[in-house]
Order: sequence, then C-alpha cells, then structure tokens
Amino acid sequence: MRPISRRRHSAWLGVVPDALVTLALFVAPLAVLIAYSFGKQSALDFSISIDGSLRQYRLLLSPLYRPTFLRSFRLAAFTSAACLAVALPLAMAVVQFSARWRRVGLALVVFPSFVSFIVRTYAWVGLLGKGGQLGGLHLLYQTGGVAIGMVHAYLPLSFLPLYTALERIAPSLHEAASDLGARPWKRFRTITLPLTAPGIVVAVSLVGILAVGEFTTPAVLGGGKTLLLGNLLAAQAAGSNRPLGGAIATMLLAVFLVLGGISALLYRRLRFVMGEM
Amino acid sequence: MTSIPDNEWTEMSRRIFLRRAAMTSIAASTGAALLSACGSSATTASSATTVGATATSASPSTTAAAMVDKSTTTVAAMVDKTTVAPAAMAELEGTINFLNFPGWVGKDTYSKFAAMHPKVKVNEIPIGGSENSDYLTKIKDRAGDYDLILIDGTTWPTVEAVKGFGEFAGKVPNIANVDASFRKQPFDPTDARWAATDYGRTGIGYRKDIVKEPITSWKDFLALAAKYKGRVAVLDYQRSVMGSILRMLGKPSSTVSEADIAEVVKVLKALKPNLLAISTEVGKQLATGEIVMAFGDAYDVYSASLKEPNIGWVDPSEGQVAYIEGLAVLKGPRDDLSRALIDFHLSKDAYADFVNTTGTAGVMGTNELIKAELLKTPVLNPSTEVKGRIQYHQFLGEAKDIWQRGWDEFKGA
Repeated sequence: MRPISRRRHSAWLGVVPDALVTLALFVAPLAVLIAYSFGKQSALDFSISIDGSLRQYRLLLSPLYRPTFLRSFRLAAFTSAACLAVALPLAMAVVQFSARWRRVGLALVVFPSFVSFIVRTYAWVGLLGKGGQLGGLHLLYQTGGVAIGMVHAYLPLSFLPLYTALERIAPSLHEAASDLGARPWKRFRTITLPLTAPGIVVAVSLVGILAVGEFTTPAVLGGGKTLLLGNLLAAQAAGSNRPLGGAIATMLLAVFLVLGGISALLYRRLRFVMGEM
Repeated sequence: MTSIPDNEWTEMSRRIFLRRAAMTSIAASTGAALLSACGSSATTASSATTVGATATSASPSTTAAAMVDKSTTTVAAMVDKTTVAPAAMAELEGTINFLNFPGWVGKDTYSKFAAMHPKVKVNEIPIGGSENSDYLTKIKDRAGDYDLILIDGTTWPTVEAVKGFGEFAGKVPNIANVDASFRKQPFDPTDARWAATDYGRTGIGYRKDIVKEPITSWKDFLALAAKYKGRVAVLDYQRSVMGSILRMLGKPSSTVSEADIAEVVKVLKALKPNLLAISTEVGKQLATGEIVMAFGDAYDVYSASLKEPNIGWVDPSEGQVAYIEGLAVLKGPRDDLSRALIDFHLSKDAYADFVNTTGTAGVMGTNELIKAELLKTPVLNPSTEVKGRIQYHQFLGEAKDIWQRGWDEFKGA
C-alpha cells in the first residue's frame, strides 16, 4: 500500500504549480472583482470600501440600465439566430464538396478571422458609411449596423461546430432515405436537423454568450448611441465606478454560467438521444 | 455666427493625436533614448546646427528659463538663445514619466528638450481622454511611477488626494508668460503647482451651405435638430454636452444638483432620436457632410474648417463650458526633471511650437511666435464678451456619480 500512497502523493504535488497559477491569475482576480461589486468607490481618491452592500446590483437592475440590458440580450439573441441561419446552409453546402474543395470552403470561411477583429469592424464603417457601397441603407451608427457587424464577426464561431456536426453524418443515411422516397425537406427534418442538434446548441450558446458582452462592434459601429453591457462595463471598469463595473462583470459571469449550463445539459441530452437512435 | 477664414495652418486635431498615440510615444521615448545613447558629443554637434537656425528668436522668458538652468552650452543656446552653465545641466538625469494626451506637444518639444538636457529622457504615457478616469486609477495603483501630468480642475482634487503635487518652488519662471486670465485658478490660487497650457470651449459647428437658418444659441440648435434629423451629432464628452445644456437652462455648468441633471437628461433624451452619433469626430464628420450640425470643440471645428470652408462656428448666447488644462508635477523623486520640462514647455519658443503643432487655443496671447492665423481667428481666440460667458469645468466630488448616471441614461436610452 505504501508505494501506491506515495505515487498518489506525488501526483497531488504535480498539480500544485498549476493550481497555484490558476489561483493567482484567475481565481484571485475574480474574487477581487466580485468583492468590489459589494463596495463603493470614493469620488475623491478612488479608494474602494467593501461593505457588503447590494447598492451596485440595485443600481444595475434599476430602470436606468434596463434599456441597456434589454438591448444587449436582444442583440445577442438576434446575432445567434442570424449566425445560425447563415452558417447552417453554408456548412451544409460545404460538406457536400469533395474533400479537397471542403478544405477550400473551410478556409474561405475561417480565413477572414485571421484579420484583426478591429480592422474587420472598421471595414464596415467604410461599407455602411456615407459614400460606401451599402451607405444607402443608412445603417451606420444604428442598431442595425451593429447587428450586421456582430453577425459578421461571430459567423465563423457558429460555422465551425455546425460543420463538424454535419461532417459526422454518414452520407449513406441520406442515400437510404432518398431511396425510400424521402424528399429533401423531409431528409433535412428527420436526419440532418436531429443529428446536427448538438452542433446547433454549441453554435448558438457560443455566439450568444460572447455577444452579450460585446464591446468593440457597438463602440465602432454604434456611433456612441448603441450602449451595450460590454460598453457600460468598460466605462465603469476604466475608473468611473469600479464597483459597478464589478457588478456588471459578476452578473455577466452568472448569465454565462447559466447559459453554459443549459447548453451543456441540452448537448448531453441530445447526444444521449442520438445514441439511442 | 463666425465665419472661419481659410489659412494655411496644418490641420491637426487632438483626435488625430490620439490615433497616433503609440507611434508618438514610441518615437518620443526612442528619440530621447537615442539622443541620450549618442552621448554629449553627438548632442553638441546636432545642437550647433540648430543654433544658427534659431538665433533670431530670443525672448526674455526663455532667457529667464536658461538663467534658472545656469548652463553655458551651445545646446542650451540653441533652444533659449541664452548662455547657460554645463555644470548645472549635468545635474539633471533620469526619465520623466509624463501622463499626457498622445503627442499633445510641439513637434520639436522633446528633441529640443533632450538636446538641452541630454541625460533626461521623456517617457510619454498616453491618457485616453479627459473624461476617462483610467489614468487616475493608474496614478492610484502605481503612485511612484508617474512624474508629470497634464491635468485640469476636474481631476485636481483626486490626484492631490491620491498622489500629491510637487511645488514649482520658483523653478518655473516661464509661468510668467501665461496670460493673467489663465493663472491663479481656484485649485491653485498662488500658481505654486499648476501652469496652464491650453483651453478649449464647446460651441456649435455647422455647415453654412446646408443649414441656412440663423443659429445663435443652444436653443436654436435644439429647435433645428428635428429638421436635420440623422445629420446631427453631439460630442461623446459628458462634461461638454451636459455642461452646455446646463448653460442653456441657466444652471451652473458644474452643478451638483440631482434635479438639474434630471432636467439635462430630459433634454438630451428628447434630442437623441435626431442624432446620427454621439461622437468624438464631429469635425471630421462636418467636413465630410455626414453631419450638418454638432456640439463641437473649438479647435476641432476650426481644424475641420481648414479642409471645408463651409463649416461655421457659433458661440451660443447662453454661454459655454470649457476645459482648461495645465501641467503639474506629481510629487516624487524626479520633481526637478518635471519642473525643467514644464519651464521649457512654457518658454515662448517651445510654447509656440506646441500651439502651432496642435492648433489648440493658447494661453499666451502675446506670443509673437505663434502663427498669426491661429491668434486672429475668433474660433480659437474669442472676444472678451464671449470669454466672459465661459464657465470652466470644476471638480464634481460625490456628484460625479449623478452625472455619470445621467450620461449613462442618455446614452443607453
């Protein structure tokens, strides 16, 4: 028994450096951030006193910030749905290609992500602005322009899990269904959609979670008028009111955890059901 | 209404400076480092060339500055045309960590200062914006790391509480070059710790070729906003916009009253549907015709008018708000270095370089080295009557939160 115990002991020792790094670089700052959210910042010297008060959360949930909350969640939901609507047919088309052209298709979708996010966002200013190719739509500095920018930004994130899920579907299933007289729409409903469901869950939650906290796109394409939670957080965390910034971050974290948890449950459930199929 | 005359002044707004943040700070620190690394012989050689070029622009103030430094090298003569002692120059050594708007200096400020003080480097640390409190947290969290700051009255008490200011201790004699109207501010009534460098007021910029209705007041602006819906903008600066509305309402522009702020927010929320943007680039947007009317900063609108002569400027009859910025020493071990840079910056030669480069409204009305067109335009140099209606931004104290909530409500609506 002794050697086994020593091995276990050594294994635990091996974890210590990683645990310390995680504790110092992730858990501790997060704990400070959460602690700040229960405090108050002095207007004179910016010192923060933590008194356990919920004033920042009350302020955050007051009617003052309600439009910002609603706009953030609406835009995140729209972005998720729009990305899914564009990425799913695109991924379905790409998986139809031969192996070589699949790689090309995949590269065409993913390659723009290698260009800086800020550069891509500013490109939309040129397109949507006065004199731009899409200037006639008058979408720059409007919520619509922000939505377009967000969909464009998050499309690859939505595409990849969908592509992965679709690629796993054996072509023989479609061939068999077709032989049995199933039309394309029925094949989509009964084969493609159920088997892609886990990928859809991942795509929607990935985009949705990131979009709720979006900062850059509304800052550039919103003209300062489309305030989202990310922009509000940035302004407060920069010094205006760090406890309020902490409260926003904590609430966003809670939202992410809830959405992530629901997604994980759904994903597991769907995989289980598919396993039974 | 003011017509802005054409001239050949080079367009250079603070916005452009902000964009050039990294480049400028890197260039400045690298340039200073290179000069320093080159050693004294290289510095002397480069200064000898400049001496001849600047030999005709001596001024009493620069002489005074040089007397303080007591140097006698050719290097000092190049900058201030005065003979000063090398022994004293050698005393100054180290790096000045300078919190400043990126590039908000004359094009030759750092190079000439480095030539004058070869062992002193300037490390410019960018401030994101006058209303961005980020630099205050920087000062608070890293108190020993900063030596010099560009600051106005709105943040003075905070920085004083967090870090404290060093005294000029008679080592900034060039402060005498600053007009009396910009000195002895309430937060530094004896000119012992702060020296004004520039100021800027908020007014109305508009396109004369499109907006034909007379505009003389903030009320006119608001009344016309609906007609020009979607082509109107306000600045993305809380103090400028809310302060201007307060002037329109006849309230103090640095009010601490929640009721006053509620009135302001009501006005702004009614205006918002007509806005194209809440922007930091109104000058540029006026020039392109993207907007036709805006709350703007004088220097930015003037700068844009050089590109588009149809841009006009209005000093609203209800009065205006303005910032007034200046340099202060952050108390620490390098106070002498910071004082030397402030004094150099306020020498007539260096100060003219600053104004000529940035196009800011200056605080030395009698400096003959500043380009004439910058001195004569009423956009940058308003009449006494207009100046009399200006209220400078003041520290808000605990009311800062009320203002912030009001601003968030407007932007989030």
